Amino acid sequence: MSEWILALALGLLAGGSVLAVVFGIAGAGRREKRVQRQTLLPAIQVRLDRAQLGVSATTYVGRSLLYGVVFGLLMAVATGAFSTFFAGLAGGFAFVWARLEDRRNDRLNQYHKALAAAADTVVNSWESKPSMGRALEAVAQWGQGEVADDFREVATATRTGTSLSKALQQVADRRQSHVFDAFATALFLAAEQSGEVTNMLTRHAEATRQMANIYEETLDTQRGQRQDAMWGIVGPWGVLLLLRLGTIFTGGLGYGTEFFATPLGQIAGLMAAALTVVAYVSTNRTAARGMIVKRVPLEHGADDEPVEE
Amino acid sequence: MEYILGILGGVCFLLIWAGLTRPKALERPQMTKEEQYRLRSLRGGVGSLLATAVEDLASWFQGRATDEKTWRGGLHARYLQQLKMANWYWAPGEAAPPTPGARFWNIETMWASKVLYAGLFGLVALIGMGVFGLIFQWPFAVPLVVAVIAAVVGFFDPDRELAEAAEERRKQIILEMGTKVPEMRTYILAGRSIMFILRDMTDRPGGPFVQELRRIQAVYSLTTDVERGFEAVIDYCRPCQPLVNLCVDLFALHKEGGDLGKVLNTHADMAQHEQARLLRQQGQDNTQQMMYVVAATTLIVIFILVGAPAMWILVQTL
Repeated sequence: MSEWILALALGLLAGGSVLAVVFGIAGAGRREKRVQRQTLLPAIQVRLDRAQLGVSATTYVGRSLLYGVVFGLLMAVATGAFSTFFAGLAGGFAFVWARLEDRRNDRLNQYHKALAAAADTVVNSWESKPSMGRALEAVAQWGQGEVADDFREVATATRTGTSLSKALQQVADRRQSHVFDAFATALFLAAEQSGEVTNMLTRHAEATRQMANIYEETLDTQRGQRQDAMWGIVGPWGVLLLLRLGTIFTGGLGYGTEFFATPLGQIAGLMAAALTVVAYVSTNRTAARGMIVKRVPLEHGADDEPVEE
Repeated sequence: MEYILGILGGVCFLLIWAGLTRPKALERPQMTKEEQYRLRSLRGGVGSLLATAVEDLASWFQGRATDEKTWRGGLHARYLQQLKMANWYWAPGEAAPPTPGARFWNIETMWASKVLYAGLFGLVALIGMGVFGLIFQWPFAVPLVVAVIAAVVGFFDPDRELAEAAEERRKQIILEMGTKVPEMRTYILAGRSIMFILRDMTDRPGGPFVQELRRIQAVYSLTTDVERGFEAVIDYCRPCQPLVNLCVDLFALHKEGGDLGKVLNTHADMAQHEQARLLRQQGQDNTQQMMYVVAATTLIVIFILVGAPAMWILVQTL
């Protein structure tokens, strides 16, 4: 019976492999060719820009390599298996990406809180004199951080003849924030409206404050989850490091040195390191899952990825 | 044994020949299906060789779709609702699927997908476990039982995928409503009409909630009847209660008249409350999911890093 299964399995495997190779070769000529070959750094830059991480690809790669080397060396020292170095190196890239995401989220959180304050400033300014130009100037003067910069830009643009909607749209495109979008709508409507809009602006200021609070609460939850998971994942490496140091300081060879020097040990070490990195990436993704609204393209295919060669 | 290997070799040769020459199948007008009833993953390549068999088998399972009077009718109604909620449903007469990347887009292709994945999962399990069975001298029944279990898992995999997609979109709509409904209220407080809101908000990029507003806008531009647009959204997003409530109230206001500002005021507060509640819930769910990963990883890594050297020494000393 086992001969039958062997014959069947080997036959199917062989047939499948040959077919895969044949289709691979036959399909190669039909792939879409891009005019210009994409090099590595621009490709990374596109991803960094899409995630709004605000660093250049060179900085990201340099910093990731630095952290990666440190992690790789720590893992190699902890186990004595040099194969873990490569997984540590890859871990550096994931770690720096996660740190940059945290920084971006913090930046956005500060921005949203400043927007809530700006909404109050607009209401106060409008109550004393209903003029959009004056309200924009007030935020540019009294607003916080990047919000003040953005409103200075809008105020300058409108003074030089650009329409308010266009000036706000430019900032909205750069910020890609739902909170700013809603605030910009309120400002635009207030400017267009001939009647009383203080009530509308007041209600919107309240809503903006609440949106900023919800965003901050979400971020705090996410950050806490990420940190808890990170310590849980790197924990075993700390345990091993302590064991090794303990055994070395008590005159021993170092826990696991003999095992991790063997090929089996090298493979086991690599597996543990790779699993750690994969779990780190996976938990970071899970922490952010379902917490932000994904934008959908206006038309099908408008936001499609370019075809990779 | 030689005969089996010979037959298998012949089959492989035939498949390679078919792959290289790609003989065009005879067109049978009675069997020709529109693109929306063909499974995307079976177009071209090896898949096209399986397409007809899979789709024929699927049509046997499918029966008369939602018109079916047996237990399948209820099941199909659920599938249809989930397909609509996930915005995967490619309705008859529509030129293109709403989500081109979806694995299937109607009941026909969903059943084909179920049949295909049951077969694939079962085959992979049979081959994989067959090899292991040979190495470890397991009885023949073991790979067979595992293959049957894998086939059952494969059969229900599209159900899981569709349910997850529908649930994710429902949550995304609720999240987006937390910012967009207050924005709608702003329009109304500034004296704009509901049609102005629809036109203005659908002109800008947005998430799935804006996508639903675009549905109202699209129906309105075809029928000049905004009520039918609200009905379409209610039909598509029935499991998303906050959106259904909003549409029902807007529908009623449009029909009966009333204070739109007051209604949107209530909905804006509710939407922000729902958004906050959902985010808290999602945070808890994510933590739970992450804990499974962390616990499993820690266990395995601890075993490899600390347990394996000890076991190795034990084996060496024996």
